[in-house]
Amino acid sequence: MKEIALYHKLRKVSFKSKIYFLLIMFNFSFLSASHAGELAVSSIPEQIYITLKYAGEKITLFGESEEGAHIIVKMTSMEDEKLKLSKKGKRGIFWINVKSLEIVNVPSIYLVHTSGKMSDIPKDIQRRIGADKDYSTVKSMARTNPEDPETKIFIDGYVKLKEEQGLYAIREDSVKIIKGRLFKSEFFMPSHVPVGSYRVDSYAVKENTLIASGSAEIKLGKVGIESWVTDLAMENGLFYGIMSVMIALLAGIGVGFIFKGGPSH
Amino acid sequence: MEVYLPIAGMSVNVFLILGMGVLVGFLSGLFGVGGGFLLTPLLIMIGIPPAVAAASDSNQIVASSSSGAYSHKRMGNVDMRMGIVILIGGIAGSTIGVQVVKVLRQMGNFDFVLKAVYVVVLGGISSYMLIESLKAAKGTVGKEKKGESCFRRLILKLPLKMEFRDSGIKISVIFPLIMGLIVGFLAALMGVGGGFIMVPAMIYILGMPTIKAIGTDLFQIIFTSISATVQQAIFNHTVDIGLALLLLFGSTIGAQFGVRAGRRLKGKQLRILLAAIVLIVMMEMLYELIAMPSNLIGLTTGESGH
Repeated sequence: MKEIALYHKLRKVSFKSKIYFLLIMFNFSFLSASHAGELAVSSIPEQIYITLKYAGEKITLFGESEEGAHIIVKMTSMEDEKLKLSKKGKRGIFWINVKSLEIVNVPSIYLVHTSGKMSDIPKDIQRRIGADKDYSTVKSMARTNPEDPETKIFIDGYVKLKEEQGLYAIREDSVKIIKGRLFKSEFFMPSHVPVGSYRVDSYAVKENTLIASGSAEIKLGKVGIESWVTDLAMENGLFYGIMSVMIALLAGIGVGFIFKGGPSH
Repeated sequence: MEVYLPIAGMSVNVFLILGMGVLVGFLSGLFGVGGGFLLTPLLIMIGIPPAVAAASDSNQIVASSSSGAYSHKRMGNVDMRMGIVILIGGIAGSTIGVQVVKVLRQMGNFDFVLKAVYVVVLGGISSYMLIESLKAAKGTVGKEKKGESCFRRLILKLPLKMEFRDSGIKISVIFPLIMGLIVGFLAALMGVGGGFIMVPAMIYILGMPTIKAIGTDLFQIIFTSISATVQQAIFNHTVDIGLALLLLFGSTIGAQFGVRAGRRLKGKQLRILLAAIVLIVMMEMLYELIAMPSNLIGLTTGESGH
């Protein structure tokens, strides 16, 4: 936390001095932890607050590894998603939902960033770290409820849907290596990502061997009025409904008074 | 400037939503119709979940019709007896509507039904208005409304007659009850006030004076929308108060400009313009129903919000 506070103080300072700051920061806080197999990583911010002005958030992941290593960074949700999906079919001239299944065992977000090309990483390592170009790990874990002959179509469609929403992506060359040892990658969390915990796993691959890995956690939660309104709407619908109506009546009559004569309908 | 809508579970541009409110308010000030029927489709187009769009729109209608209803009541333009009869139908209709929404959402076809109903209703309104305004432009429209249609004659024959002294009519309660039921149902399903159906029906079929029809309609809209909003909040958790407030402020401002612009523009051109706008929204919705989707798999708007 101290490092983050310092980082925020330095936010207005030039990029170069930020890098130096981070260099120092990493040397202090992570040197002790960076014995064999462990990758020192840290995300900024670690906690994302959904406030009234929340419009998604940029997450920067920093880490330190051996020189010349290939870095893979994977962001996934800790909680698996449970979503109802429907398949459209043509009935007459209309496209209408013809089948609904629940998809389970899938992360709500799956973003993989690499410092080089995915194809440079041996297949067995790809499988071990659960990151590959055609989402085969995610797809092999996914299940539908109930099981159906068309399960595969649903899973493929789900991944495509997630790609369109920007929540599933494989982005090569998007981990920057700074001064040989430090690496940095930026993720953007769109505003419609559900609240919950997210983890970023980082892997270093050198000479076709996985030499180190490490992870960081990011929490996303509603705070203040956003959390209050959501809790109320979900848990006490009657009270929330009456409150919404009262607010609307007061606002409507109030605004009507300001404009005199009121809105015509 | 972005603002996060807690129930819709996404952030939206404040000015975009305000702008939509202004546009719809402007149209409603200009044409004297509610505009709810345009707002829901516009919200869906920018990615608001359809159920949240319809429910929040109901909440917004509570606000935007409240001051109008208040001043009509003070001026004695509300036929209370008629209002209550319609309202009984309206509350029953919105209660059924909310449950239908719930069932349709569980079945995963709410979006389709909503869009289909919109296409039918908007298509009907816009073609009616286009034909009327084209006739008017040609000058072929006479005062043919004076003659009693056979539908009105049928209504007059219905039993359970009641005297509505404020409007100076004596008529069966069955028709107003059914009208209330339909409008209440549409209010829950589409998030509309229903004035575009109710006012003409009250004037041409029930034979109420225009000003009483408008006042009474506003009176029933408020209570029908309150009923729809509260029930959506209880059963579907889809009312986004933030969204409703943004829309309210936009539409109130827009309505003021609309009323002023309406005084300067000619009625016939206005009607053609409104018909064209309604037609465009209808076409867009129809396109979504018949165009091949890019991905056959889609999210079912489930029970839980984010």
